[in-house]
Amino acid sequence: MSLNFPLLSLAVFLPILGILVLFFIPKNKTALIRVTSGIVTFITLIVSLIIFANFNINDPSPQLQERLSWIPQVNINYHLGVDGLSYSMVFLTALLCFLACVASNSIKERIKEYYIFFLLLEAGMMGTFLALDLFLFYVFWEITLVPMYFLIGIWGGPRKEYAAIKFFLYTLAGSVFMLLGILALYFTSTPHTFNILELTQQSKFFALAFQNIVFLALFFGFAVKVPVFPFHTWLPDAHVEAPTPISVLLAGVLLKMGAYGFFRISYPILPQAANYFAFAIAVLAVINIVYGAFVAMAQTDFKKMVAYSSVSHMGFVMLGLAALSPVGFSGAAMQMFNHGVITGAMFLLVGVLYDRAHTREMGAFGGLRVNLPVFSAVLIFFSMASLGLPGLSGFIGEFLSLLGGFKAFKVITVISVVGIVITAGYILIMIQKVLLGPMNDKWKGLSEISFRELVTVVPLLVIVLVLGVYPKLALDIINPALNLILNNMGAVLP
Amino acid sequence: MDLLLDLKFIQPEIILIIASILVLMLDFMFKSKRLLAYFSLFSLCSALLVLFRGSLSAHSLFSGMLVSDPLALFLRILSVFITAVVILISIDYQEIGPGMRSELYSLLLMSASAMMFLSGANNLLMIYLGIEFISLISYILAAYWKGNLKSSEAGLKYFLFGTACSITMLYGMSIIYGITGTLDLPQMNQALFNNQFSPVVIFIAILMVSVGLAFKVAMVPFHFWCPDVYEGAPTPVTAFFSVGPKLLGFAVLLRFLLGGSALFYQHWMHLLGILAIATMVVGNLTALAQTNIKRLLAYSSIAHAGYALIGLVVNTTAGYVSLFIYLSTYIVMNLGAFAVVIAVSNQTKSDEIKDYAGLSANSPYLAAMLSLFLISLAGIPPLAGFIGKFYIFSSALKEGFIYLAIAAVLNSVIAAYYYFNIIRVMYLSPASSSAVKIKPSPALNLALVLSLLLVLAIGLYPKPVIDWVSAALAFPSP
Repeated sequence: MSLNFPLLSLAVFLPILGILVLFFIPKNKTALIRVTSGIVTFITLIVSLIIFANFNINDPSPQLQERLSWIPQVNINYHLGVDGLSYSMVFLTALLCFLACVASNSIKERIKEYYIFFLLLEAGMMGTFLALDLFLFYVFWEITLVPMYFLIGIWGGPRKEYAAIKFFLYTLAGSVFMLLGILALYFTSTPHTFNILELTQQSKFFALAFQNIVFLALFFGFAVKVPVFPFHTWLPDAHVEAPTPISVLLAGVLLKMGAYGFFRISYPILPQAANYFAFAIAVLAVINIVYGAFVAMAQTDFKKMVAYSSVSHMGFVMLGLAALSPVGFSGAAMQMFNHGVITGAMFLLVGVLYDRAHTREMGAFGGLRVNLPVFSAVLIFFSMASLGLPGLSGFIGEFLSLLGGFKAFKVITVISVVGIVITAGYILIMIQKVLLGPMNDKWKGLSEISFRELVTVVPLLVIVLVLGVYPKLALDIINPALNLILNNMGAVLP
Repeated sequence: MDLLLDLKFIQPEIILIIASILVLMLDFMFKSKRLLAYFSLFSLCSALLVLFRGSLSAHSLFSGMLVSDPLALFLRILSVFITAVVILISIDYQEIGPGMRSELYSLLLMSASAMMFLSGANNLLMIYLGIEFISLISYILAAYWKGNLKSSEAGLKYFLFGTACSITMLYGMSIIYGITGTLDLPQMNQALFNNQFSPVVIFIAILMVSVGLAFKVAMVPFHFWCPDVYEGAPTPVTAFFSVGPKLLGFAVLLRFLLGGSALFYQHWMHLLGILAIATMVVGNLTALAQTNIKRLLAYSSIAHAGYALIGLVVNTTAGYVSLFIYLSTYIVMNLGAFAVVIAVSNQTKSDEIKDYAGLSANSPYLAAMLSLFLISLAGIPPLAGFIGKFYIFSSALKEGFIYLAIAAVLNSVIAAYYYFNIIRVMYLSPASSSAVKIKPSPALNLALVLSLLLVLAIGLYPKPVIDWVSAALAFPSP
């Protein structure tokens, strides 16, 4: 395919095109709606692979750039581009959206609306990871909010209305401050620009005090999304109440938007502030890791446990970021990708169980390994990945983050290791409660994981295994982009 | 003199005045009152055509009473647009009987011409006359729902409140006249520039004049009439109140404060800034508690006036541009929201938010429309409301009014809550058993589609609108 073809726009607008097609399908033709959406997400996944085919891994700067004048009065452009870091996120988004779409068969009511919101969400996420213009970034960022509100609010669990509006208001409150930060950057740059690349070049001209203020403004927006303690309280509600496929996307992709924002915007454009706040962020990261793990341990609800484990795992991303070193950054970026894959799979597996048993109380289960050997095997596999077993991908990100973190903040990093131990604890307790022990007769009739459900987790399983054994595959793609970010920050680094 | 020559600049106003009289006469000839509406729309369209042919250069008309400048042209076009949409959405409004139709259309046409005169008012007397003209028509329109207690209450309340504010304004004008010896805005500015008078007196006079205008834009603390009038008035009239007088109130405030009063900018800047915040906060916090959608939109319109005021506080051309971009987007989305309210109340006879439960199941089209308008009002991209908010926030930040920017963004989060509450009721609550499918009439549909297209177009490609507004404010006069 020729390089001039707007591949990136295609990835963003295919889902929108899918929505337009869905408008013309009568709402009672559910099978057709499901198939259409499946095809759209699948083609988007193919497009993401074609993007990779046209992608030069040795080039650290954003590639396949597309740029159109949008609002010339304030120098706003429709500007997309992809580098190694954003590619990892684009691929993750395309893959998880396709798998979540397949897993959406569990949705039984208001099918047409569901898929419309689903595809809108995918377009918003894609755009967020590809935008190189801050205004465009903000627009895509906000676009993800609205469909997510509906997806949780309409198809969620018992407390869906509360969870949906809480998610919405938290994220909105964070992002309006982000908007002010973006505007401050625009007015301080000369010439005024929203272009992320140009702002990165100008970063050395920004005064430290200014950088700190803007960094905090952006921090509100990103930290709510990651989520960084103490902005995390929306997460358990939203994750638990959301239907399974949406939990997958929330944990798998949406949280990464926050971390990606740090990588793409806060750190390169405000390097001195990043350095200034490094310690504070490291402290918050460790609170995330340890506190998240402790709270996860206290849960009796399987899904809630996975939700809090996300808080804990995202802490490693923040720790790696705070380290401000190549190793730390690699760890953070790897952890972003791996957490998306592993936690996505965990939510899918919780969903499999919930669809059959209609409960998520871990104490209610027991001995499922007898009836559901395949399910148990897969669950144990991802649990091991989640607790960071060497040889599986979860280990790589955590290890690199800790390695980077240890160099920069010794005491803090040592404390964060406590989190890993607790993680091992709650994961093993979960396995014991759900899979091992005496068989609970109530669940005798539970059926084994179906072929369709297996299809949704096997690709993730392969990725976890391959990256666990040979992480260089992903690191080679991500590292050049990270090194470029670090080089641009160069002067301020310790 | 060239008085007759000046008449050609006010052709559109003349067309509308004649049309408003003709509507009353045609009432006796047409059996179908729809024809009256079509006739009114036709006259508005012809006025619009004449306006589009109008010149962009600035002229002083009628010995300085009126000015014909790009800003006036911009405001006149918007006035005609607003009136046309309001007539469109009132065609099928069922609460107004056929016997009262002609007066409604006639009054709306008259207020359109009043707004257009006010657009170019360049003399305190003209400003007062224009405001009173609109106010008197508004009192009648508010109390229009004959036999309805709420409507009568609305009219009376509006009248008493409005009169008090008008008198204050008139008193302020008389003080200014006493000091400067002129009512003409440019001459008044001259006199104020070389003044030797007590600044305290002038400042008080400026404040008093501003009271009358603050009443029109529903600025806190002159907003108390707003919710009751909005709830009591027939819905199309409410839609009109929420945008028309507000737009012109801001325009006159701009012209008045832009001139000689600018000398006292540092005096009223922070006062106006605080009032802007108060307007946002009071509007939004009270809107949170509303159960009636018309009242909710009334309080939200107060809040929106608060955001828009920021453009005035900033007091730069960029600020004025953001003010009018904001108002343009607000007009479009608010009219759209009211069109849905009318479509729903035609069927359900209710404006209670709880009666919107399950609207997404019965009338997915209307629910989606209302959701889009509300999301736009909440300022979520990529819809028109976001562009307005973006411009307001950026003008505040640019001039260093950080406290205003922060207050505005926090308020927009509060506002998102109550807008999404309506969306929650429509999409998340189950439909009541008695709910029926609602199909908007063709006229309503036209208004809906028109508003929606504008909301989408401004949101996705704002360049033309920004160009247009910037051109209107390129040479602000006086």
